[in-house]
Amino acid sequence: MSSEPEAQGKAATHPDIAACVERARSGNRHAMGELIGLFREDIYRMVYYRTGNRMDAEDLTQEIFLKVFDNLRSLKDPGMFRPWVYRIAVNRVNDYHRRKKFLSFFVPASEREDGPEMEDMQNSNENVLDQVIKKEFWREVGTFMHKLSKLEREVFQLRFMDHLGIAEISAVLNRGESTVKTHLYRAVKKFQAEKHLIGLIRGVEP
Amino acid sequence: MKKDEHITADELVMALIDKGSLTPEKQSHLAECPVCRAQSARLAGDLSGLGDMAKAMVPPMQTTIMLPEAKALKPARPWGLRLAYGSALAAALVVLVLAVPVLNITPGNKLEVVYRNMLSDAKLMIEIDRMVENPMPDTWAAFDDDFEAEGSDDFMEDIAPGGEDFS
Repeated sequence: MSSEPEAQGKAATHPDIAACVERARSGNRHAMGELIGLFREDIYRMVYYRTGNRMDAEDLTQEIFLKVFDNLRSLKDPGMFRPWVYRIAVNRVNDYHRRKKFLSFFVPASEREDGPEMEDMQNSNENVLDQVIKKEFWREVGTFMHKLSKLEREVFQLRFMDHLGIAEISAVLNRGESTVKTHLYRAVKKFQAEKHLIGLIRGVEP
Repeated sequence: MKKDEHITADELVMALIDKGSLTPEKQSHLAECPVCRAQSARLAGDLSGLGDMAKAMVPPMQTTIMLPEAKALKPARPWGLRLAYGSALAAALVVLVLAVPVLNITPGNKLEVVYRNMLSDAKLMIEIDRMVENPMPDTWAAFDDDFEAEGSDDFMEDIAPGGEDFS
């Protein structure tokens, strides 16, 4: 058992992201493409977990990468690229939710877009059982997330869904490691109380 | 720590988050005790299962991430160069401000020309009006003032010699 996340995704296992970042900083488009290839799936998933909408997640992922390359020169330590990208992504997602909340004042409830599950169901070619499981899973995750404070939720998602380490989460959220651990502890305690969600996880093989 | 004593649920959560939070004695107990290890593994499995399941339930991305435009990739100008550009711009402005009165290129100058033309036109119109009333130049008018035709016979002799009386 380790306190740090297991290496997941291409980005976490890439040997020399810092060198790639250095080349991208000097305008090397091949290096930029390489960074996109390493992080696009992780960032897209990260955004999807927080928006629940594929198209919004794709648009936001594109915006995040544009912002990353626009500001790449301001990154002092290329070794901190991964938490830096996640930090941009977290901020961008928060902007998205603020904008959506603001717009919801002007858009009648009847005209608002369908939820994530409905959108996935409409576009998917999966069989009915998979669709039901997926819908059930995201509903349970959503119920659990609503029981967490904003910081608990962010810390929990970054640690157990995005697979960042404590130090990385600390850098992403600009909070001390002890604060991150405290909120993570509270979130895990609340997770343990989610019997239905845990049953779903144990009973279904992804 | 006694043999039949186990790590509490809270401590297991703490250990999952930060292994170093346990005392060395409890760490060694966790490494050896099958009950505590099983509980810890179950919790870790639930959490990693959540991550794995979430990952599997994300719809695949259908678009390609585009690279930014090439113009955005140009290297930033160094501060020295920026300072030089700024200084050159400031110098150009100073030169422009100083050159305005010398070169007479202000918009006010144009107004002055128009005003002069209008004044000249007005003077001309006054002269024309005066000529309509009195076509003789002013010098002639002054001369007229001094002329006394009736009292000067010599002058009349110059104009009409012969001394004939036509009256």
